[in-house]
Formats: sequence, structure tokens, C-alpha cells
Amino acid sequence: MSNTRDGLPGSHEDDLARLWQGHTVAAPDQERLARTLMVQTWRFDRKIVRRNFREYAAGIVLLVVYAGQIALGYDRVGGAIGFVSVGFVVAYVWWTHRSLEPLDPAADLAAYRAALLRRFDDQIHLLRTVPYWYLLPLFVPCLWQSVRMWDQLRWRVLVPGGLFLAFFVFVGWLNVGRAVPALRAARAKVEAMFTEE
Amino acid sequence: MNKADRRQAHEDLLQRYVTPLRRLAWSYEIDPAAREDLFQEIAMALWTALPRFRGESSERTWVYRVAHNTAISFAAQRRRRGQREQPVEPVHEPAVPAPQEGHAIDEQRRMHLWAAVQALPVTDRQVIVLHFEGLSAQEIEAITGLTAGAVATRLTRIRQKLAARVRGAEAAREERGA
Repeated sequence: MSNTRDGLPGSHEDDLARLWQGHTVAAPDQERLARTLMVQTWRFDRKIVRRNFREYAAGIVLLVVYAGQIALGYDRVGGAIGFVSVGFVVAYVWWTHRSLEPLDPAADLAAYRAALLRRFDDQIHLLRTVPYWYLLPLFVPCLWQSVRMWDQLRWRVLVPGGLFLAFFVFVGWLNVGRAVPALRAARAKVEAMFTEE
Repeated sequence: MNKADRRQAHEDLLQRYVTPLRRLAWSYEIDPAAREDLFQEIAMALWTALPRFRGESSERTWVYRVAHNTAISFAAQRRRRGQREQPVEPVHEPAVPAPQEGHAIDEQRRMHLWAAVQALPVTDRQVIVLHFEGLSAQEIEAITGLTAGAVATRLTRIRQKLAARVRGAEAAREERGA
């Protein structure tokens, strides 16, 4: 046994380092990468569709409740405010996803990558603006209810109002503070993917 | 560093280190899909860490430190999720085709070496991979936190172990062939 470069132990008959360096691990082939991206895009689309479905379902229930409130004459102003607010949110979700279409299965790697990055960008934008198109419109009916209860509760109305506000702030933080950075990280990962050798 | 400079620096880094980083991923993950995931994690970690690189250590030391730390976290995450490492067997990966007959023997030995490296404990694996990639004892010290003396001692032991395993695997293969 003798010493090699930098005083590290080695042996002349030992060619392990040569064997190690002689192996050029091939990058995965383009077809497999395209398949991986296709699956990722498909899963991402499925998540979006499911989330939107939940939003639509909850929105429809609330719209029916508010429409009933208007029809029955119970707090018509509140019903109208709620109907418009929820209607706006549902319409906005539909509007921003109206062009979401499945990818062409015959598309190449670059097309899948671009499509997935575009989807990430769209969702990042959507979640970053949640306080404006989602929380603010939905907070208005809650605010109206607090105003209506002023006569009965006076300053005690600040308790339910404060709870509503805290809940909305929490939902906003979940979207902007947690989900957006996670999506950005996932996007950067896809962007850095598949460096060619 | 603005975004365009960062992107350019990141691409340059990946181009320079793609082969050693893929070998490094190979040494940590047996499953090809997990290996590709790990390579992407490393690329991502380099992107994130790039603005903080001040040139206090050499670029090579910094890249390997980021890569090894990422690989260790990645392996730990997979263990937590219950995706345990598979039993180590020589796995034949698509490699650069060997044009001559003698290279086929080298390829066999190489596969045995990879399997033996993958079977090592994490710290030993780190040390030997860095050594195989041509890093000095001082660079390995900077990356792993082990002293240069400890690195030298470990290397002697690991290389003996690897050489014995490769010889053993070759002997077993010859016996099967006979």
C-alpha cells in the first residue's frame, strides 16, 4: 500500500477510482422523461379539477341558500350581497380555468414541460391573488351580518367579527404563505429538470 | 445576482457537474426514478443556494457539499415515507456503449463496484465517492466535517472493503460461469 495524491492512502494495483470515473451514467431517455412529465401534468390537472369541483359544489349550495333567502324575504339585502359575492368567486374560478385542456398525448418533452410550467404559473398567480378575488368578496357577507347584529350585540359583535377575520387571515396565509412557495419550489424543480449531458 | 445571471450560472454549473452529480445520485439511489428525482432535488438545491455562494470555498467543494447534504436529506425523507432502499444487487444501467470486448469485463467490475459502494454506510459512501471524483483530503474534510486524518484512515478501510467485495463478486460470477 502506498500513498497517492494529496497524501491519501491508495494502492497502485487498485483501479477502483478509474472504474468509477469511467462510468458515464446516461441521462434518462427522452421518451421516459416525456412520460414522467405527462403523468405529472395529468396529476396536476386532476388536483386542479378536484379542487375546482369542491369550490363549485360549495358555491352552488351557498347560491341556493342566498337565492332562498331573497325569495323568502328574509334579509333580502344580505341575500343579494351573498349571492353576488359567491357568484363572483364561482365565476372567477370558472373563468380562470376555462382554457384548461388535456394535453395532446403525442406532444413532445418540450411541450409537456412548457405546459406544466404554464400551469404552475397560472396556479401561483391564482393563489397569490386569493385575498382579492376569494377572501375579500366572501368577507363582505360576513361583514354585513356583523352590521346587522349591531343593534342586538353592540360591541360584542366584534367577537364573531374578529373570529371571521382571523379565519380569513388564516386561509389567506395558507394560500399565499404556504401553497405559493410550495408551488414555486415545484416549478423550479421542473424548470431545472432534464439537463442534458 | 439578477435572475438572468443566476439562471446562466445555474445552467453552467449543471453542465460542468452533470456527470459527477449523476454518479453521486447513482451512489445514493438504486431505483432509477428515485435517482432522477434526487438529481432534480440537487439541481433545485444548487439553484436555491446559488445566491449565497460567496467563493469562500472552491466551487467544486461547494457543489459537492450541497449535493451530498441534499442526497442525505432525500434518503432520510424516503425512509420516513417508508420507501426503503431495495436490496443491493448489481443493476445494469444504460451506460455509454463499450466499443471493445475488454470493456465488457470492465463494465461487469464497475457494476460490482457500484453495488459495493451503494452497500456502504452513508459517511463511508460520501468519503469514497468524493475520493473517486478526485477531491483532495482537505476538500473532503471541508465537505464532510471529518478531519483529514480520519478521511485517510477511513479511505484505507473502505478501499480494502470495496476491493474485497469486487473480487468476491467476480469470483462468485466465475464460479457460476464454470
